[in-house]
Amino acid sequence: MNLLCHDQVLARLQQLPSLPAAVTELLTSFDNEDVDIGAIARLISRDQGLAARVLRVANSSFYGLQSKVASINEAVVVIGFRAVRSMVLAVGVTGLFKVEHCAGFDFRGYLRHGVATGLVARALAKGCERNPEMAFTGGILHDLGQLALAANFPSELAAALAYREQHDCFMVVAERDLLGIDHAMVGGMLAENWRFPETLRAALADHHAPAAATADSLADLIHVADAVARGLGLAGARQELVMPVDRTAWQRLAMTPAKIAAILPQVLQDMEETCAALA
Amino acid sequence: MKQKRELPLAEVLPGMCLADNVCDGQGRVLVPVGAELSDSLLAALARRDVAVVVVECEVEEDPAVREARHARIAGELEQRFRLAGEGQETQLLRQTLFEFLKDPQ
Repeated sequence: MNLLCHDQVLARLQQLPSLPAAVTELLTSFDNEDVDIGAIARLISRDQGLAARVLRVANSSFYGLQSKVASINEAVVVIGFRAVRSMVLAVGVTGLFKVEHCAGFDFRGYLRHGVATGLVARALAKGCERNPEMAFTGGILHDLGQLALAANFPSELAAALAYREQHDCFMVVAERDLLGIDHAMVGGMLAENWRFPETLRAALADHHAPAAATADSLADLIHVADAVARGLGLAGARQELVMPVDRTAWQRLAMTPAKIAAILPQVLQDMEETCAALA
Repeated sequence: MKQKRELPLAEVLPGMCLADNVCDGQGRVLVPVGAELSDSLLAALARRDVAVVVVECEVEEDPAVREARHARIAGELEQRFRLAGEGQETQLLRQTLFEFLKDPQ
């Protein structure tokens, strides 16, 4: 059964509002050595919703500051450009989708799994010659296609969620069986539509089939981080299923049990605070 | 594994670490949590009439409790990995997670 077709999904995604200007600027800043932080701070300040979120996080107990941060410029100085960037990208993109009409979609579980994958990916990135901050963002956004389906095709995704329960299979399999399209494909379309950097696009589009992506993309790392996060059961979701780990991805990353064991304490330590900051 | 234990001052051995602050009658901290108790510090606490302190002790865990915890963790991983197959990398990951989760750090 194919409840959805590729062109229909694409047409809907193309009608989505464009990304906030601050998000677009920040997406290109990963590859840009001389990024104009002041200009980006001004863009964030102009977006009231985003600015309020950043200030709320900067003033949260997470950073334990003595005095209140009142402006984005100040926030960049105090909590750092990278932290502001990760936060704006996570909040700015995720916040575009309203998922309350999709029965059975566990938004809290979605967010927690994204954060867990992001933390694992960031921690592993250092040993795999990947950009840690890009890896963190890739982890947080890797299942974005599912969020887009929940927001734009709520009854179809709800049917896939029910199908998954009934057949005890992976979500990506339920989506393919019932919808004829899966969240990785949708994530890839979104990333193209919004012109994400190629390496980030691969994280969304190829994290379930990383061998199809190029070796320098984030797909390998997000694939493995996804499995680690699921294995730890950090999403707090009722069903956490680890998918088979892809050998090509594992080998291209030169992954070892010792590398994974080394990062686990830090991931657990950062998990709750990061979720609280981004929720 | 480490456990908190309340001990009479006379039974505390130098080198033990405080698991709670030692406070005076007004609630002021005399020695902070985490401090290693030396001979001189113990003598000073005795002069202050401190009778008991809470220290960290290394205790031997009940083997039955440990076994039960290991079985629970193994069961949880079994659930999460039930569709993941027998691939070598997948099993390495599962073993790594078991080693990490089975004993609290």
